[in-house]
Amino acid sequence: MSEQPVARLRGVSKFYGATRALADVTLDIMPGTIVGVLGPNGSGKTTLMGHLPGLLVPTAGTVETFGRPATSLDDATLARIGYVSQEPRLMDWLTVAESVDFVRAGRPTWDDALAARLLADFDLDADKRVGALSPGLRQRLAILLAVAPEPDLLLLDEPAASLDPVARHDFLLLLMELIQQEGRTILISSHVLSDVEKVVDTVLVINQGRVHCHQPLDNLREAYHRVDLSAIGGELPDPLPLPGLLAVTGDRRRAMAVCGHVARRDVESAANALGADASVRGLAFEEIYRLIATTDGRKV
Amino acid sequence: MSIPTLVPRDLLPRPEWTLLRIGVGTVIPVLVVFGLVWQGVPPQFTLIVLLMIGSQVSIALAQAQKEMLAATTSYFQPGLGRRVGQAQLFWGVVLPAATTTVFGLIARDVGTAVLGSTFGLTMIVHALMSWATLRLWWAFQLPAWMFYFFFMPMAIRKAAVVSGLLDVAQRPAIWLAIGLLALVLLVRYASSRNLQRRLHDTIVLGPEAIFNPGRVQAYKQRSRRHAQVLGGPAWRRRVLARFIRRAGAARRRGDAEGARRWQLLSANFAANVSPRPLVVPLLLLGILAMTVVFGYVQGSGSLRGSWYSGLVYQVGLAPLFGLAMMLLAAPLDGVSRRVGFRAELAAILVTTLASAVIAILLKVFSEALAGMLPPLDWRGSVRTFTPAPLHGLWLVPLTAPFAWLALALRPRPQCALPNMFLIFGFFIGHGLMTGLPYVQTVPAYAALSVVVFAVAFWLRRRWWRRADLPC
Repeated sequence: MSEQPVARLRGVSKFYGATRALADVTLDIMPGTIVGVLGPNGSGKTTLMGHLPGLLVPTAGTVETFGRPATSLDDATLARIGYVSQEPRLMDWLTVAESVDFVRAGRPTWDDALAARLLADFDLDADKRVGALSPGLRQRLAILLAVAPEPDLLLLDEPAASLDPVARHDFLLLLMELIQQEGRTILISSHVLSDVEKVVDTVLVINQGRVHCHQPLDNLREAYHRVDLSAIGGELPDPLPLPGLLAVTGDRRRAMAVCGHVARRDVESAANALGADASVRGLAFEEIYRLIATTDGRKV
Repeated sequence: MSIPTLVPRDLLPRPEWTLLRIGVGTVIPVLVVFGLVWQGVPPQFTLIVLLMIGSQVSIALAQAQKEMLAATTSYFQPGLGRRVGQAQLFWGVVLPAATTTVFGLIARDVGTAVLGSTFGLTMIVHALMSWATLRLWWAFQLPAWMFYFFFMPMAIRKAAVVSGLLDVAQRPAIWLAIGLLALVLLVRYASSRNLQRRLHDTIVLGPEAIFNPGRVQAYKQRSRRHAQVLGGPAWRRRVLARFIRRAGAARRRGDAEGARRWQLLSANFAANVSPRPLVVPLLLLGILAMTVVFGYVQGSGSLRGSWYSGLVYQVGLAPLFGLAMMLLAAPLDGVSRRVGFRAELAAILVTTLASAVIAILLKVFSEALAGMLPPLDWRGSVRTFTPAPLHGLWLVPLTAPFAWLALALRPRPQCALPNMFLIFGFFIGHGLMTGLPYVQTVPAYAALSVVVFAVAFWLRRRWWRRADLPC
């Protein structure tokens, strides 16, 4: 029997007044995947993630999380979800320890050892009032409160945005540790592609509310290639007869081409057939992302 | 629903602040209760004041619960919604019981029927105030607005309207039934996932936000992040487009001062007029209701002059609210110090003119209502609609310099001082012009306004000469 998706979105659109935030999104989030949700500011990442626990109600379409309609999840199902927002609201009047106690009281799966370790690793003073914490420390506390209950689905919306480089590194290590635990599904949105690349196994690129790409990272790496060409004793043909050609820069003597949606061996054999000095290599993740984000809605 | 699962944290989520808010909201009504008992005033007035105290307590409690529900983690916290509902049920019983007990102790001979009605009425007030606090983003203003309703019975204390209150309270079954129904609906609402969804991760404004426009602005920015600043109904878009066109035209013809002036005015308009299509019609309805209610309240003749009917002129101050935001938050790049100051002065004058026009429209509207609304006769007491007094026409524009002075004293975009100066200036001026002859008060207020304007002018010009402009 095939595995049931953790979240299933079918034809989901979301409008805020006249502003369209999501447009006909259909996708499945499979269990155990670590999905990097990428896209420019205002592309719909937060809106997409807000639909999974039922925080947002779709204007059209359906969202199911853990097999149930997302807008009517029961307490037990919601307790399986952890969520960190860009600017988390915390109970400023409580101390850090009281905040931990508050969340711990309702979560049967709370991991005391993990919480204690994160308190120490994140330099959080248990006796300090939450309202007196700096934005970075508040974000760390929000991460602790979302992670310590060991949720099956962890939604991280720009979780590292207000963390300094050291805290971000610690957070990435924590994420990698969480990933080791089988069955856990994580969605993480971030603008720091180098961070995302280290932890995700699937990439979801969204722009203007539309999903441009939802693919395993390895597949993407195998699908995009950079070809450096130098003519030997003549000129390069124009146009270059390369499969899946997406972009070319340079001149008739030296050129750099980008090919997509094609196997590397096909690109290599086509490049070698040109009679030029050719080298084919994979694209950096950042270059792949830029290509996808600028394909104006074409599916990759 | 199991009451024993309630813990103090759910009943009183933010104890220190909640008790402080209750204290501030109830100090005046509590003193009034003592005064009424001392003077031997009929018990119906005591009942009204006790209901006022109950409403302030309900608002403060619901406010704290709202803040708890707004935390990011709360939506995912199993059973939290149910516990909030249980807490509301607890207070929905305890508050009426306390109110009824106190009322019974003060007014010993009112009888059990009236006490039963008191219990039901307090339940209704609790349910209504708690629901409004949980539901409305601007509920942080409710503790202040309640005082309008609180003082109104005092204004009509000799009228049969209030003296008949205890007659109405002779049917406890009706009030208890309505109170119970209201409480059940409140508990249902407070426990609902929809409320948690609505409040999740939002900024919740407490009553102290009245003195913190920066926090109100932060809320508005966050809540309007999906709205288009230049959007909204067609008339709003047209006005904004016109302002921006004029700013562009002034810039093209080299009129830097004009460009800056129109830029300031467009920023003020965009900040003050909501892009949500229903807000302006609802506000107009509110003004209509306020004019009618205050006009009839005034009809008792128990207060000298026209205190209540003149309160409607507060609406005329609307363009002046957020003055600091307009003048200080807008980008100053490309503006010389001289041009900046002159444009600010022009913007102040235009905004004051807009306030004066609104005051004139309010007066015309109020007079038109006076010609249309008939006298009301209830239980033998005839009440005639009193139009807004004349002095609002000059009181509103003469109050504008107070806001500018506050801005000059504390030139920070998110400072509450300009709004406070406006409000206090208006109330003091209105009080003086209501209670004393115009021949004494108007020249005095006008002279004060001119002095305030001159000081503000001098301070702002000095500020512009010394200010660091953004580079």
